[in-house]
Amino acid sequence: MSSTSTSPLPDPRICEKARHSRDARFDGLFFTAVSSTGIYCRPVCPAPAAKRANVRYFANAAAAEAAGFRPCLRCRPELAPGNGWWNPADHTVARALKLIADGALEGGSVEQLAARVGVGARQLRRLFVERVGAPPRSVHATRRLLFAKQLLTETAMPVTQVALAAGFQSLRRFNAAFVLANRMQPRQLRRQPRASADAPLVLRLEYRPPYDFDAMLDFLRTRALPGVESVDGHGYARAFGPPQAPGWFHLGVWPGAQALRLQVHCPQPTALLAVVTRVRRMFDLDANPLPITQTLASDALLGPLCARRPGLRVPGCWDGFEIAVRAVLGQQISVARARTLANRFVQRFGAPLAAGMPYALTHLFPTVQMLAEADFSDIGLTRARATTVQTVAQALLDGRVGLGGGQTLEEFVQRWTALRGIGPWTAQYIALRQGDPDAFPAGDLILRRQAADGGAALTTVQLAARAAPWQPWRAYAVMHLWCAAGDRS
Amino acid sequence: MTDEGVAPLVLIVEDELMIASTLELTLGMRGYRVLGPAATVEEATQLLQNARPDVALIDYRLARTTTEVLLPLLEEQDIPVCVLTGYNAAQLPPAYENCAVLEKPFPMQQLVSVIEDLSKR
Repeated sequence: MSSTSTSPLPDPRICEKARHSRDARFDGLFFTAVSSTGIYCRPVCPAPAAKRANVRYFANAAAAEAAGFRPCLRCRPELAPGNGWWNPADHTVARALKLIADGALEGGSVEQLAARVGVGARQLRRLFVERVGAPPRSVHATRRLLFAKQLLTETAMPVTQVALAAGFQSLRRFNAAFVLANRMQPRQLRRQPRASADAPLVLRLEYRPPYDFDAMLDFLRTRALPGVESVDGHGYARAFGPPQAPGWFHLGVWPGAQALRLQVHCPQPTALLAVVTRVRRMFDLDANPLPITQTLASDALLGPLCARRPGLRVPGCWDGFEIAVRAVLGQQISVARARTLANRFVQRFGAPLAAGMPYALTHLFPTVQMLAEADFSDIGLTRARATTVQTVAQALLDGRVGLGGGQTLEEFVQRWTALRGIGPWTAQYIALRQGDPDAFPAGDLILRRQAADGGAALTTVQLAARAAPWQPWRAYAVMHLWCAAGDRS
Repeated sequence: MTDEGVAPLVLIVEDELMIASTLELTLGMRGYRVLGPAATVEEATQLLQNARPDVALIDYRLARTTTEVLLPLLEEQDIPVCVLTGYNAAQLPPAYENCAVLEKPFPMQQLVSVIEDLSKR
């Protein structure tokens, strides 16, 4: 059993202090429920703080709702950054929460979910009630209803589309569930006047400060694939599939708030929550900087780097397969050269988009199916790399390897390195870009040089030993060291 | 039909979201105003107390009941009704005999012309 018995809730004295000072660093880590009003809030709620005697703390919105509280209309709990799946002390629950966020309970059962994280369904329910404060199904339901609340508050999307986006098939069931959670009809939350049906949605994505959006954009800019992605001074844009109903999004700064502004055009309302979840993960918006900094700042090498970039995050990816292919293309060549190769892939094998997409978006990245059978003979790729790309695509299709999906880092690396042409560096890099906070490509030359601090580059073994105290946040250490190398050159 | 003030108001009573959403979007794009969609007869009744639609577009069978109890209410206010059914039109109860009928599945163009027809009555 990998789980520990630590409570996911911060110490009540910390909660007390955080809510009185409206400390955004604790946003999403707990919710304050007030028994006299029946409402639960984020620590950043602008409303006057309630008396201690009337207050109960919950680790999760679903737990507060399970206890009969409804979400505040002012601080809007649906905007709080996520909690849970980044908590490495609680592997089973953390992985299950991540899978629920990926939509595991959309069509699947709790039994299937439990099997994927290696426990029985009863045990998973018990663990959830103990640690999260609500069973898996409630966590899933609360997530969907809070998303509906956000859409109703911020957008002009018709109620039926909102209900579809929240994963419902019956309007009656949606209305009933919504009223139960919010004590009001969906229509009563409607603030926005009706806009034209084609206008992109604008959603507010909040994070726990500090957040270094510029560093994130810099990283993505040097790797951006023209036509598929675009990075300008204001933000990041990308086209996404499926090819028969392509969409696009743009993520930029939300002036004056600890939030990013997501503009999204998603022709299928049922896919919208998954799109938003992926954007949050790609930009590492649910990270909790406090424990990360606590772990890394005391290190002689990393301390000054943390001070220089306190809001540094790990850039994730839109699609794991895309990052795997690009990692293979990038083996032993420069970032710029790898980008040229990837661009050729897109032009040759990616689905072209209809004209008129914004941000000069013209293509989708090629699919697994496409590359599993593609002919790479005249694309400028060595035969060995071409074989590796095909091996990866085949292995994903036949299930020898998977992307994310409840695996531990060890399992992930073990499976990927069993493929010909995939070494530990590539496997760890894919894990890092997929959001594993502890992924660590110890063989990376830049890291080995940076960690040597002016001396001869460390060996892979030396670096791995040096990095042991950085666990479980080694991916953040990687980003600090890579950024520092960029500063120097 | 672009002026909000004169655009006909269509009541939609349909529980199934994919259909309700398609109806809402289709009519919205043609310049109609939509009342609802209501998912239950109770909800529809409530909406009818505060608004008078020009046309009612109702599904025959909702999750728990049929829409039959709505018919006298609509008739009383002289609101023309189009009923959607997954069955054969002939299988509908006699109470629906004055309604226009669309058998699912139907092309949206057909829906639009039926609504246009009814809203001119």
